[in-house]
Amino acid sequence: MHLFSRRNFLRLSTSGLLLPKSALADADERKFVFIFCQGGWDQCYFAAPLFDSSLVDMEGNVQLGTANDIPFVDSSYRPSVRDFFETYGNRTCLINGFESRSVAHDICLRLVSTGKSLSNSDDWPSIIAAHATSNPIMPFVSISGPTYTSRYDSTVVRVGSSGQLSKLLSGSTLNELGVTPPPADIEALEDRWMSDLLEQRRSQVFRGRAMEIMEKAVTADERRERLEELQSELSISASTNLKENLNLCVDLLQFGSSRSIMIGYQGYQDLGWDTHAANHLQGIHLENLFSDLNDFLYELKNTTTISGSSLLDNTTVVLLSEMGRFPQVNSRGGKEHWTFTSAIFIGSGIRGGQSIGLYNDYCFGEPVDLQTGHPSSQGTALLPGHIGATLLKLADIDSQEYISEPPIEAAIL
Amino acid sequence: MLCLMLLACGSPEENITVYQNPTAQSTPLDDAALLRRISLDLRGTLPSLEELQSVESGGLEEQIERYLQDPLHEERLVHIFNQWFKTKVDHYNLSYRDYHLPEELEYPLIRASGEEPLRLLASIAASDRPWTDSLAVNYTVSNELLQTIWPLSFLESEGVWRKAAYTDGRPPGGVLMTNGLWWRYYTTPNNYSRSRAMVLSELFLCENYLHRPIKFSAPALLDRESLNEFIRTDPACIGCHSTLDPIAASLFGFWWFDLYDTAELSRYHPEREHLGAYYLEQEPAWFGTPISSPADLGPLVAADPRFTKCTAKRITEILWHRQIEVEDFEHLQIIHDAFEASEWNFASLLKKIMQTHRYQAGAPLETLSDEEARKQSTHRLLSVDQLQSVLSQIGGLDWTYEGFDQFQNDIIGYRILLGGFDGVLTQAPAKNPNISQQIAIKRLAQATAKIIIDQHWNEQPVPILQGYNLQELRSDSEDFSAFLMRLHLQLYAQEPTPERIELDRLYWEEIASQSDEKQAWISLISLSIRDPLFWTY
Repeated sequence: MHLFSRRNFLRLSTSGLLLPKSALADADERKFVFIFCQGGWDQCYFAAPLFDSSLVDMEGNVQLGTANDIPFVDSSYRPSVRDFFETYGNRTCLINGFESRSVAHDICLRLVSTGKSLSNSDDWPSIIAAHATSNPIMPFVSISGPTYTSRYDSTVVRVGSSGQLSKLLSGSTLNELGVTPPPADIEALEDRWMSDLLEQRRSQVFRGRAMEIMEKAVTADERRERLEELQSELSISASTNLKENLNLCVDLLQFGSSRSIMIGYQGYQDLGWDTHAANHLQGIHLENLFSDLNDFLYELKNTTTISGSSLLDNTTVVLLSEMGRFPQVNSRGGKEHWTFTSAIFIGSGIRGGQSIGLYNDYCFGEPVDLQTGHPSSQGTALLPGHIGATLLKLADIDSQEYISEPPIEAAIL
Repeated sequence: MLCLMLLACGSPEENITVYQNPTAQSTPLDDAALLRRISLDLRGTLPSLEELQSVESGGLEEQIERYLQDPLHEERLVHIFNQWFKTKVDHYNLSYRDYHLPEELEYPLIRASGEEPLRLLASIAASDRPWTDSLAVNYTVSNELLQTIWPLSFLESEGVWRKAAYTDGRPPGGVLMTNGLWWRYYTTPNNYSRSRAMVLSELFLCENYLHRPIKFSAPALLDRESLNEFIRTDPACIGCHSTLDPIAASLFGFWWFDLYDTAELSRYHPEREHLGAYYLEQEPAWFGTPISSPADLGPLVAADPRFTKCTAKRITEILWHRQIEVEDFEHLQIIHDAFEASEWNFASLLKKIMQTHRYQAGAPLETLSDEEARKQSTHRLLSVDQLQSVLSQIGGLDWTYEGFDQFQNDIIGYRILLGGFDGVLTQAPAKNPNISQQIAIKRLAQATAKIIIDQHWNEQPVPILQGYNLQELRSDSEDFSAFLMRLHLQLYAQEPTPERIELDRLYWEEIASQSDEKQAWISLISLSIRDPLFWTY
């Protein structure tokens, strides 16, 4: 539960009264929200309407839907999915048939998040956060979900799915340890001395890892101080509830305190997307996902930044899963893993009203012309690297420094 | 690639000794700092003042030998192996509810399941047995909880973790035959153990099938009737599946029909061993060598030269705190040669790595570029387990909450926030400080300092205070300075500068004037723990 009502904040913040100066980030810089459906969503439940393929098991009682020129799998049981495409389709680009290149969760998670299987690579959110032109308090907030960092590990702020960061900030963690916190004035004195000590330590080292660690410690300490100032106005408490986490997202974006935010979504009641049995859960998960997503996008659209623009105008929302699901149902009513899957880009910088990429009758992704977005036999087979390069370009980052695949230009306005 | 192989095979005439190496890119740590690093790596704790004094007179080698015999060493190895095998995850397919266990066993079950393979590896590594036995022994290591839910019979009568034999007919194979390993790395029924074969290759050979170019272009993937034939004949598939599938075929004793059933997951299934050849239409084999029974698997992996090379690589990377790069190959070869010469004695491997200048790196040479200087692992962050054991050592800190070890889980705990990893969503420890970690360290420092001083004020012995009576120490006394000197030595293995002592004194006096002397000591020790000198090594 947020201590501070977001709506109250929104009402008051237009006057700029509530925003501490230290919290202000570059309001015009594009922000990114990642919603990661861990476990492998079923592309045939929303993005791959392969009704004519005898090789693909589609669920019953579904039909081809089209909204804002985006074809999708439409079901009367999933009105929120239809609402989404009808309401936000014009700001949405569906990327279909990209290949995660594995069918093992651990490996796919890394591949889809970083474009590489190497352990020393950074994921898209952390790269984007590291290039923030301002100095946001929490460049990359990992509320939940996968996070792969190496070079940019100091950009990440872990929230903890049980409100751990919030407990640390408030000092209630000390209660777990059977210890009472020091008086506020003493704690303030401790922090001031600590800052001085860190500065002193930094001044004593001049290069190499020692300097790198000291510099990052000083930066982390400065951010800690700013975050502690902010905690009376912003409760950074996460949960396993998607809606609550998305509400936190709006708060973080509104405060301008972050450039990247990652939320993992495990589906309805945390039942997970890895539906080797009972694949019908995919439909329930999607309905819940899109229901909360619609509310989230509505909030973004109707919330203004301090510079007066809509949050949705400078926020790109990205929906990902590490893999798709096998086109055929198994003996337990489930589906196994599948290397081809879909991603959804929404909002700022996105050329909406289109679906790029195509599944063929075998549920394989077809090559795409990256400039036009049209299927082309001479085109490019989409990989996670293309997804990442597109996001990095949207963040004004030279993607070639990180990934060899080029951006999907057709997805970008 | 050939160039790399030649580099790896050619071992230059280089004698890596402590402090002397012509190709060193860094100056080494001094004796005390090196002992601190070694103690933290081998035991997870700080060296005592007596140990620090002993190395001043050249007793480093003897001290290392003592650390290797310390019971804490085996505990530390569990954490080192977890960095390699990543089995200590927070969620498995089964929980305490599935076994009808009381809720207070939720965390103990999670942790024990992940630790089983690690503790077996640690017990082999800490003993005089050759490392290759880790893939051959016919026992595991279990605690009481696992013994009650898995088909295990203790072979020893004492100890929390004891040798135990599975009684379900599984063949010998050391860690390859542990439930814990395959609970972590499960296969779906229709994946037919292929993902496990891939994991086996990655973990034990450092060979990642995913680094091979692949392309799914085969419509036959949807045709179950012809799938296996296609995998065996299509050029796009052969590269991996010609070796992957025969390995997978040998793992069917662990193949589960139901991924969420206690009977399925608790037991090995000898009756299913032959199903691998049936489903995959491939006879079990290890890179061309036939496997006549799953009992052959462990010895074949152990005999594969890539296994010991992979071991040397993984442990070197963990102790160097960075990945192996091309220019490290000759050093890695020397380390491996020493490992081989010791007949795969794990302690010898550790000692050889600790003799390298890369391990002992203290400061980059001035001749290096900034980029090269940053690559030298001269300063490392304490891992979460090291932080935990050091805070326990100096303050007796025990952070257990609702039955969960808060350092070692992310369900309600702080493992990732402290810079650790869960093995799934975060796969490596943080290398740099960040906000979450700094705030967590702040709170831990406050708690530890409070516990230390409360104990002292209650006249309980606190070793880190080294017999000083803080209630009688005046800030203008020589004893005050002497105490700070020893405190710094104990915590950082280095003496404070006179300026630092003066600053500490001013700080203490400021807190004392605003509060009282007890609070001043709490704050001073808290600050000492938050100092980067404490949480780096």
